[in-house]
Amino acid sequence: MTHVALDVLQTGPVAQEESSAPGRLAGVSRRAAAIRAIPSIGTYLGVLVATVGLILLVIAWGKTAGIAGNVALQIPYVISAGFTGVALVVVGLTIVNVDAKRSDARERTRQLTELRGLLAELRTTVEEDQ
Amino acid sequence: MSRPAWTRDPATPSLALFAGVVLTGFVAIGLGWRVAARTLLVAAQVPALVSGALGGLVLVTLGAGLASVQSSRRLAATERAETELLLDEAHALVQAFKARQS
Repeated sequence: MTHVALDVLQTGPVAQEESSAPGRLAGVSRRAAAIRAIPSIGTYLGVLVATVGLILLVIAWGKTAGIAGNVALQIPYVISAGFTGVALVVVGLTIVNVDAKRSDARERTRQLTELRGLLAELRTTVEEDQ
Repeated sequence: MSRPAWTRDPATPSLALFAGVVLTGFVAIGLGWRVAARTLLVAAQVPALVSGALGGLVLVTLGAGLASVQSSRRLAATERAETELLLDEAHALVQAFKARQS
């Protein structure tokens, strides 16, 4: 009886979890592919992240300018909003850079594929003429 | 039971590592802020500013830069593979022409 119960414990939920795991991964993959299919989504995302960083920098400036007399109160704002803002601008620019490069590379690869297809067609024609 | 394509990409582990470096940088900035906000003594805040905030910013920049380089290399590898196929096709075409002439 105990063995049966253990078998059920081992094969039931675990087996279900294992079988649903690839499905879940495939679902995530499908969703990621659908998001990636939106044109220039990376550029928009990067610009958004960089804009959030710039807003944080403005907030840091506003807060530190408001308490001009006390450096000890300014430093936490410099760290939390200022440095985070600069870091977000860096990340945003990187996202834009990577997306632009990927877009260019995709276009070049498409051109190469098209050229290869044309060469293959030409070769087929030459071989048929023989 | 095949894995999704992105998990089979050889660049995925390194890109995940660089994303982790970027996240660690943000965490370091957060820790720097936490330490600096706890005291009103500037002499105690400056080390937190340097180690937490500057260190975190360096980690974010490093992670983002490395991710950019790795991404460029991956794209270049894809293009190289496609160029290689194109050259193979051009070679086969030349052979076909030679065979036709002979």
